[in-house]
Amino acid sequence: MTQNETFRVAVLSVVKHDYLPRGVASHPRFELVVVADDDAQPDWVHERNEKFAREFDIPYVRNVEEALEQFDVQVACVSSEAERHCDLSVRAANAGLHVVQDKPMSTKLSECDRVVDAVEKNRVKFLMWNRNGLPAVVHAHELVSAGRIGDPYAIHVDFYFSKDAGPPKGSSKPGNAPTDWRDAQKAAHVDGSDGGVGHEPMGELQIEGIYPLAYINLLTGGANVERVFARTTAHFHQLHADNNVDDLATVTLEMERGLVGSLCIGRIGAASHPDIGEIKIHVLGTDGALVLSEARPEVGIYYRDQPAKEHRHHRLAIDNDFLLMENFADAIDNDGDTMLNARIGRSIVATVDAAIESGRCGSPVNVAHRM
Amino acid sequence: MIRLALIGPEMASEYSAISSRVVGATIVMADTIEESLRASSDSIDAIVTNGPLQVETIELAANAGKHLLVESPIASSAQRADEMIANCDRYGVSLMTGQAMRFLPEVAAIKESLESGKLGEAGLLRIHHWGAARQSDIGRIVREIDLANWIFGRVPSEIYAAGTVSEFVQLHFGFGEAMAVIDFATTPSDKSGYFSMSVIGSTGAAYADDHRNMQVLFGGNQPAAITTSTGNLHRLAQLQEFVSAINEGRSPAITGADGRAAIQVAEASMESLSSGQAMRFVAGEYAQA
Repeated sequence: MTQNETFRVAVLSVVKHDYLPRGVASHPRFELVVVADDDAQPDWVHERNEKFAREFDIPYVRNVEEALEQFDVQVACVSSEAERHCDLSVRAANAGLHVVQDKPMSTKLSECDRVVDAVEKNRVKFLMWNRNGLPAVVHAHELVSAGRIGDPYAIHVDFYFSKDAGPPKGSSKPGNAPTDWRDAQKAAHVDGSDGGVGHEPMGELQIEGIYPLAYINLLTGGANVERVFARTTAHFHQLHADNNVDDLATVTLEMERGLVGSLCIGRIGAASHPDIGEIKIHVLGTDGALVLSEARPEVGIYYRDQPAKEHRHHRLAIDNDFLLMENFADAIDNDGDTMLNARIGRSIVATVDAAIESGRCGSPVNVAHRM
Repeated sequence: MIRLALIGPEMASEYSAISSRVVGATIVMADTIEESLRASSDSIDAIVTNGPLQVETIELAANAGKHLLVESPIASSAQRADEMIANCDRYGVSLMTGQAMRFLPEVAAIKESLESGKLGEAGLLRIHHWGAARQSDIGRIVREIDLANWIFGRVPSEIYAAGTVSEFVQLHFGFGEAMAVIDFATTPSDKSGYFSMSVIGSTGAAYADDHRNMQVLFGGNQPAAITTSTGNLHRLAQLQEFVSAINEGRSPAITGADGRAAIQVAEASMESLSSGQAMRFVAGEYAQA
């Protein structure tokens, strides 16, 4: 593989936010050449796929294997409903393609195992989409790696994102049918608040947990979480209460090397923060400590008649898409590892699963790592 | 106008700048409770002292009719706290738990927002508190535990603790469906601590942290972040509450029972830390889940 080669990319389903294929396309070495999906998918899936294909002026093929064979692609970009993520990734890996996949990795640990097996058997590269390329996270990694706080022994992440999810909890009248998860997600696509596109209801730990847990993985040098204690609840939204999934959660993380951490996460509602949400990282080390706001650097812009929903503070120097794809290209070029490979992704899903179980049983739960 | 004795050099130091601003009391200093009782037993109405106190000392002061403000932790155990409370009740004197953190301007603002209904129902409390290590295991964590109890209006239904007492401890509480995570760390420099507190409610959220309030100082090799202090107004507010409660013949804002509850939760937290098991509150007591 020459290091200036452009990789041809098949977009395998683009039913969620389209940030992932757009992020892939932002790097000059990755060219989107086709959108593909299974013919048996429902109309709304095909409509979203076709719309994206039209915008990029590339074909839409209603047959995944045929598209992979006919378009001479080297990379697959998977952004389907959550339940189909791993199956599409496995099929792409088995066809010899490198894979970039959207979050969550899966709703089932067994599906993650299929991906790990397929990626390793076919010797292809796999990257779970993440936010570890945001300026503040990169900065934190630089400071920790340079030993500025000594050896980290504790890490805490607050990951509150200020989005609503339909009517507030308690708004449903007695006798009302519970809100259907998939219908609600489809409807939320209009304003981009559809975080958990899929058939099965997912809590925010499942949907968003990979981002803060990926920070923790990065800043602890890849320490596995061994045991968790969690509290989970549906505190804000009727949708989450109706579907018995969390929109607010706290997790104690006990990690390898005696590291201790915590995660506070929630979809806390649009009224609860002036911008996208309060996202902070605290790292304690033997020689110091680090406190970072993930949103910084930022610029504040305020003006007369400013729409209420417009963020007052805008993040600056966001280069996450490019850095992730640069890392992916580098892994392909040099047969190296990606920053968030299939095993790390699987480990994060196992941590989230254990946290959900702990929230249910009220006791600490060991994380089921792959041997 | 009541006469109030501050006991010990630490109290004198903490309150020296503000003692003249307390309305309704004149303040004197004494080295020990016994000394204050001996020297001016008739003229002293109330005593302000550090905890934990021996039950016998409390009985001595209560028997002499002195109202008490005892800094948290008020006793070395929940059982001892029960005995203290019983003594104060028996002699008809007021026992206030000293917990000036409740009067910190940022904490008071958050509590006021909650009580006014602006934030809706409290769902999550997060506190980071880093600084110099405190003297005892319970003394290290009891104040923040009181904040959690106060925010949610009850003691936790579940407790899980992780870390090591000496350098770092992390407490994880369930309050029914609500939750709290509090971590304590000993920072390398005792000169600079760090406090952060956020409350996520069902209709709003409040964020108070030193990080938001950092100023930048240029003058060395690199710019340094420094905090502008909110001063000692929280101590003045606490002392004023104690004095006002006595003068008005009412219970103080922070009772002995509040101090006792925080100690009980701290004891259960220590048990969770050593056993690695979650603790559950059943019939007024904590037991391993």
